[in-house]
Amino acid sequence: MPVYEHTYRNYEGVFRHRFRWWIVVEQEFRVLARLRIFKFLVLLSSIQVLLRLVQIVAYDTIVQDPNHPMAAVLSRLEGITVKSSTFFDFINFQTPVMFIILLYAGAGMICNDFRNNLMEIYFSKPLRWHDYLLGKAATLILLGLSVTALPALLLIAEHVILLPSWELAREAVDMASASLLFSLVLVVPTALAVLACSSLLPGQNYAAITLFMLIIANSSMAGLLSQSLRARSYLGLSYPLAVMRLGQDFFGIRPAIFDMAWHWPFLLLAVTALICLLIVARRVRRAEIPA
Amino acid sequence: MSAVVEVKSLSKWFGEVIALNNLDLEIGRGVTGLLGPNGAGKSTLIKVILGLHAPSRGSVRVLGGPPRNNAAVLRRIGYCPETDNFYANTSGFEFVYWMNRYWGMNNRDAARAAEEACDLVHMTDRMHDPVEEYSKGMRQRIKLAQALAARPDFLLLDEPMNGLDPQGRDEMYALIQRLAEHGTPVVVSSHVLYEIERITDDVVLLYGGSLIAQGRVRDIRALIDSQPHTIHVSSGSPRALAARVAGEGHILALELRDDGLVLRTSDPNRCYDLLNGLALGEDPLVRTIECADDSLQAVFDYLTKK
Amino acid sequence: MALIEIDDLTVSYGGEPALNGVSLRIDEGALGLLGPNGAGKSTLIKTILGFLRPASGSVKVFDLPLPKSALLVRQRVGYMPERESTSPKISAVSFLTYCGRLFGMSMVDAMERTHEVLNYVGLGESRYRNMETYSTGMLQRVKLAQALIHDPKLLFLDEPTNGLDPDGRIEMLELIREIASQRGVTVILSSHLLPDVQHVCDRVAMLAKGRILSQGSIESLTGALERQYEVRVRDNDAAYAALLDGAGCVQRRMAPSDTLLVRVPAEMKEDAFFELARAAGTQVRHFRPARRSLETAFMEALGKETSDAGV
Repeated sequence: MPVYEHTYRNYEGVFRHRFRWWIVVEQEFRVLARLRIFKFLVLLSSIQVLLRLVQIVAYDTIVQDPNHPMAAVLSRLEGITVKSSTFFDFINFQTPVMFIILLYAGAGMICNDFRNNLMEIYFSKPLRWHDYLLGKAATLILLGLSVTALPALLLIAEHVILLPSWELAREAVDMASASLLFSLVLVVPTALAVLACSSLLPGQNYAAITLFMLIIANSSMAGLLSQSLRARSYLGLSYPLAVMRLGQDFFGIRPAIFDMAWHWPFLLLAVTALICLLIVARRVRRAEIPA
Repeated sequence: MSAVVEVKSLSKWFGEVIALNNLDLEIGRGVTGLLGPNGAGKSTLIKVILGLHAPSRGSVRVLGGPPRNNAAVLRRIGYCPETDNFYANTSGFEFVYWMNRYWGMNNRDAARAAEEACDLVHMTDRMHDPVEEYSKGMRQRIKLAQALAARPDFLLLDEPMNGLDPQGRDEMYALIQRLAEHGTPVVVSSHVLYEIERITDDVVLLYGGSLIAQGRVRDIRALIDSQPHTIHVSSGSPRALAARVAGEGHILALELRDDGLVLRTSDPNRCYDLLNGLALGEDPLVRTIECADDSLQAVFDYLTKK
Repeated sequence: MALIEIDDLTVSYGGEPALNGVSLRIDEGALGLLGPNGAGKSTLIKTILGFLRPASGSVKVFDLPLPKSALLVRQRVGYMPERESTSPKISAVSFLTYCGRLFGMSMVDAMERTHEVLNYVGLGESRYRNMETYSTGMLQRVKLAQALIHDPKLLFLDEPTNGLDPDGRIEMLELIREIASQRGVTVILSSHLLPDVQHVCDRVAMLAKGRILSQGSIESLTGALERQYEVRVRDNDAAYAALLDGAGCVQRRMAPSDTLLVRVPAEMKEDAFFELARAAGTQVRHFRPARRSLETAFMEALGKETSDAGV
């Protein structure tokens, strides 16, 4: 009969490394899910989703049916019509809440780890800097997509189910891919920018405020340039407007905010995203060698 | 010669939690060690001495006056805190310089005092580098420099040896002793008891918000003399020695080891007499004598494990 | 096969060679890593963990070459860093299961191990509270736990007693001793508190300015000082000291205690101390051959003199 020993057992289990970065994602989500404010923000993001759900039901069933008593009343409501641009609008209007969620979840992601001296602890485990970075970025991107692309796709599905037709189905495929592309173009650079600020600044609040200021400054500059040089194309330098412009392009919406080929705003976003990625990568790589 | 710190019937509570309970204490010249487990009230006592907290009851006088909101007293105190907080983007020199300016020195004096203080702690060659680049030991020295720069009449050091390498520790000991010899009383609070033992024999021991011992370690140890002592004796023939002493009435316990015995006795005086006698002669049974209760750690353990 | 084999290692950190031609073999047991600040101790540990690339020379841990096999090495090594680390918004359990998973354990395994290891380091019910409520001692225990969770055979500890109160320090040192002696884990302890190192380790390696100054067993480094003894009497100190003088001894008080460090002339026997005590009307309360302290050995190796050297 074994006598109780005050010690820990020899580890007989297995060590399996599949996707290390996914462990980082899981942990980040686990931590976020416990925060009250986060739950509140998620709730906030679902308001528009609910409204659109109702709108689609109203349009698809009531307005389309001429015999319905409410049809006449509802059809006079501005914006009740569900078309391609509706989904563009949906994602567009989700932008503020998506931004706040990403900022809330991401501003402290890297700087808190620095502050709490966790880098040494993490990297003394078999975790590479790219696992760490990919995990953090993936968390934010998944978060962002889950309040933009995911509900958009669900709404599109709802629309097709309620108004089944081959034509609509084909259109739906276009709308779905446009939604996905728009969301990616919206979420990915934002996520990378949040991480870049988080890795550069010493505190969570500093990072959030800095990013906020950068976006305001960027928009103001673009506005100033376009006013003083009297060319609307300079508005393309503004990050939010560049994103919106691309979205309009994906959805085939005319007239666009400003008259410019789509590759300029795309270039701006791509370059921004790349710079942010390089910044974070550099900071995290340096952390792998703790000071 | 009045005491540096006089505490009378001092109590301090925070809400329901009492941090200091009816403390009566006098700290005089020389180096005094301030000891106690975490939660004993040490940091609260330090804060009261520095005037950061007002006593809930009772009084405290430092260098003759109450410290709270009393610039005349506060500018004579040098304090080296345990925590490691510095302004961002400053160099060590700048930090000490600005502390001097806050103290009230003018531009020139502050710079000069900062230089001298940095020199005293051997930081002259790195003093213009940003604090972020310093190792723990260097930050520790800058903190000490800041405490010394205004030539205080009383030094209060909280864990001053933290992060210093053995050489740095040695220098710190020497510095503290030099300061004490020059007449500056120093109070050192530390958890590393054998270090306190090296620099001073005077200690103040807090536990649970109360003072449980004060004075010279040897005196406190002598008071514990009335309690059973544990003595390590080395011998060439432990069993013969054991047979010799087992018959004595004051021996409470005997433990046989390869190279000797561990004795527990209720009458240390008689036991040592016995052992001294057995150490004489050609082939003595007793080779070495060591008391396990000798160290400050043992005294501390005894007093806090009551 | 030694656990760690370091051969003529040179590593640059920040432009300067932080380690210069270091050769070291670390076998099983408990090793103390000593050296002044800036000696290269942390550079050595970082190189062994695979963070830094050697400019020349080689490092092998468990016969795996570094930095190529860095991930494999980190899998089998536990590291307890010096700085205070915390994950304020989550509990110790949550933090440790995360660490376990980063080592590649399944969630279930990680959960089991977390609780086992937390029991071992002595963290009780507070493991379910958020770490922002923890005291320094508790955070240190969590730090030790995360270094043990994957059952490593090699453990690096950097100033493990930092910030702990006297009881906490004793407990931590006892825990480390137990790990080294009873679990067969090779422990490398880096600390400035030499008595701690003496208590826990059997060997030391001393570094200074990027080179190995000396290495060997603590026993051999702290050998007895020739013809020198420590003695303390109950009372009548002055009379006793005078008698010692008369017998031809050179003595020095080991301030601030009242223990004397005495060098005896060649002819004097050990029992003379006791005879003289009787003559002075007192009794000897402490008597043993003086040994070099590890601190003295260290300082001598550094070429400096300390207040603790013999008479």
